[in-house]
This record gives sequence, C-alpha cells and structure tokens, in this order.
Amino acid sequence: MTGRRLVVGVGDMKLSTRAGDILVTHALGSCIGIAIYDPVAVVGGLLHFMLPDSSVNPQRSVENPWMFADVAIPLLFKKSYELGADKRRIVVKVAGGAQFLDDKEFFAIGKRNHTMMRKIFWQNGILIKGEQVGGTSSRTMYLEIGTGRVWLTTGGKETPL
Amino acid sequence: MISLAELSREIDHLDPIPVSQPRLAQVVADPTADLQQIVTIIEYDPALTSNTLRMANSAYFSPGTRVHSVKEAVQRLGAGRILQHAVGHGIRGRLIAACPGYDLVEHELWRHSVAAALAAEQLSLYAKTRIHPVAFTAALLHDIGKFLLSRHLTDDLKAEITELEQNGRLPYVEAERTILGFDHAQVGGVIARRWNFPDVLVEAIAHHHHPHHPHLGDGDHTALDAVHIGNTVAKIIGIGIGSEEMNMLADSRAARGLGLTPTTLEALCAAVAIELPAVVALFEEEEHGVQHSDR
Repeated sequence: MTGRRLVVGVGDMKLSTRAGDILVTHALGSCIGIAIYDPVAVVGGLLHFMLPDSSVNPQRSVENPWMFADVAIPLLFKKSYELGADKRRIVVKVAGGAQFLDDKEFFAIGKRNHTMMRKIFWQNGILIKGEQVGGTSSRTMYLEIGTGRVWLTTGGKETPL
Repeated sequence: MISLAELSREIDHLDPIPVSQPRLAQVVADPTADLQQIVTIIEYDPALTSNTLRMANSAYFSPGTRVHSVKEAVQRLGAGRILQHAVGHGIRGRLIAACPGYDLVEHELWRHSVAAALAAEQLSLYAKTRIHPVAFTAALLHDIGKFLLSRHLTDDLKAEITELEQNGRLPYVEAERTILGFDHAQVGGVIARRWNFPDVLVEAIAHHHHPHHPHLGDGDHTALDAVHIGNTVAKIIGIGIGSEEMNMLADSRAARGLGLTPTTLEALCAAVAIELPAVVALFEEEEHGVQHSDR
C-alpha cells in the first residue's frame, strides 16, 4: 500500500493512522520536532514547535496552538488519545534545538525549547526513547506510520533515531 | 574562482534601480531632512507615488480612512517603510529565485529577507531606543550578496566551505571568506554602495554578521544591530536556514544595546511568525495590482 507524504510546517502538527504514511518536517533549526507513535493502535504524530512559552503571546497560542511548547506538547498527546493511542505505549523521539554561536546564551532559544520540553515530559511521566538535539545543524525529521520508524537527515546524511 | 572585481562587474549588469530609491534612502538617513523633502522625492516618481498611495490604502495598513495625498501617506506609513516597500518591489523578482549555492529553494531567500525586515520593523515595539529608519530596507537587502554569489558556488566550493566549517569549527561566514576571499555580507555591501545607498545602509548590510566590529567606531549603529537581530529572528522562526544553518554568531550586544531581553526576543519571534504571511501577501498583491482600498 502506498502511503501519503504529509509535510508538517513550522509551528504545525499532523497525525496519521494510515500505515505507509510518512510524516516529515523540514528546517528544524532551533525549533524542536517531536514524533510520537503507538505501535499497537498504529497512531503517529509529528509536531514542529518554535518557541518554549506561550505567555509571550497568549492570543496566538489559541489561534495556533502548535507554535509554543507549553501548549503544543500536551495537545499533541491529547489528539493522539482521541485516535486511540495509549500513553503507556507511546514511543517518543525528538530532534532539533540547534543553537547559534551565542556569546551569552541570549539567543539560546534552542536550549530553552529543549528545557521546556523536558520539563513538560518530566511532569507527565513521559520518557524519551530517542533524541538528537543541539549543535548548529538544521535537521529534517521523518516518522513512518506502520513501522514507527523515525529518521533524520542533516547535511545530506541520513541517521536513524 | 570568482573574484570581487568580477562580481563588481556583474553588479553593473544588473538592472538599474530607479533613481528615486537611493535619493529617498539618503533623505531617510538624514536626521535633518523634513517631511516635504521626502514627499517631493516620491512625487517626482509616478510609479513610487502610486505604489505609496496604494500601500497606504491597502487593507494591511488602512484603518478605514483613505489617504489622498503623498504627504498623508508618508505620515501614515513612515518614510522608512515606504523606502523598504519601494526597494522590495524592485528586488522581489530577483530574490524569489532559488539560490542553490546556499541550499535555498525558490521564494526562501525572499521570505527570509521579508522576515528579517519585518523583525527590524517590529523591533521598535520592544526596543528601548529609536531604531534608525533605514533598518527595514537594510534588513530586506541583508542577504542580497547571496543572490549574486549563489550561481558561483559550485558543488566543489560548497564542499570546501562545509569541510572548513566542520573541521575548523568556524562560523559559515568565516569559512566562506577563507575559501573565497570575501563573504556574502561584503558582497551585499558592495551592491548597496554601487546603488548609491547611504553609508548607514551599506554598513548594516556589509557587517550584518559582525555588528560590533572594532572598525565601526562610534555613531548610530542601531540599523546594523536591527539587521543582525532581524536575521537571527528569521532563522529562529525557521525561514532561510539553508546551508548556513544556525552556524553564525548571534551577538547579544546588539540585542542588549537596543534594550531587548530574552523574553522580548521570543515575543518578537512570535510576532514576526504571525505577521509574515500577510506581509508576503501584501507584496504579491501590490505586484499584481490588487487593491483593497475600498474594503
């Protein structure tokens, strides 16, 4: 069965229950991509969030909940439960959070994104199965529905996650 | 290998920009200029006049009341914004092309440029100091050097730059300068100077990766700082990452000098991400002569 290729934009999320579909998100710089997958229910989701904290623009977090980690991550899980995913079975993999060469960590949004994400996972008892974060490279992240396979491409090289 | 002298000759073969643009830029850059001088320059250029009036009456800028004169339009929009839009219209056709030398697909360099310009514009809402009004135009043009250099970056040169970045642990722009003898920011400065833009605008393009270069001395460098921040904001919101990726210096002195904090920087990023589609659309609508003035 040929699956679809669903592109997740910046500040965006997509879910799929169709085996063979591939969810992909490009240009993960300081943004973070989170792939979640329940192998039993065959439910997968890919989120590409941009900023850690919606308090800088609460109105926007209502209009576009996928921009900010604090709103987007709980909602990603909630939407997957609606499609039959179970928190105990969900496998979580993350990539992104790249950093500028920042003299004083003023622009360290990649790091702040990562810290906020880990805090939310910790508070909710979520374990990360695979992670590739930091550095200065941009990443493209893929999630294949049916197999749960997650892989990254950066600088033309492909690595499994 | 391409030389800066050859690139300069290529600049001479680019379509000339309307003479009103550098004239308007000189007046915008002059703190002693008055409103009437700005109005006169715009009124001498029929295309600029009609674009300015259309922009002032567009759905994006119009609060409902129509303006009928250039003077009212300048008061509504500000001369810096009018200059940015005039330059943007002229340059859009070039910047929407793909830049394979920098791994930027079609429209990516343009969207990155508009995002940086929008960030420089929105900065005034968060900054504690006045931002020089040429900042929006400088931000829009900050990567014009990439447009010119892209076609000369063969796969071999790109590989050399990447190898030096990784093995020498250098920022992209330093690796580029080591391999080529110059970098895209310098080339952008050469283009802006050739187009007779004022020094403050040239400087903001040429040094956008090094806003606190020791040679710059004292003076008003808020345009340069704003361009540096605009470029980082565009990258943070994921636009124009390309082969340079995040491998560039983000200088906190530029941000602190304008009174930004890490929190207001994030608010700025969110604001730019929200506004960007409307601003990109505004340029496209104006390009196709769509008017929403009667809405």
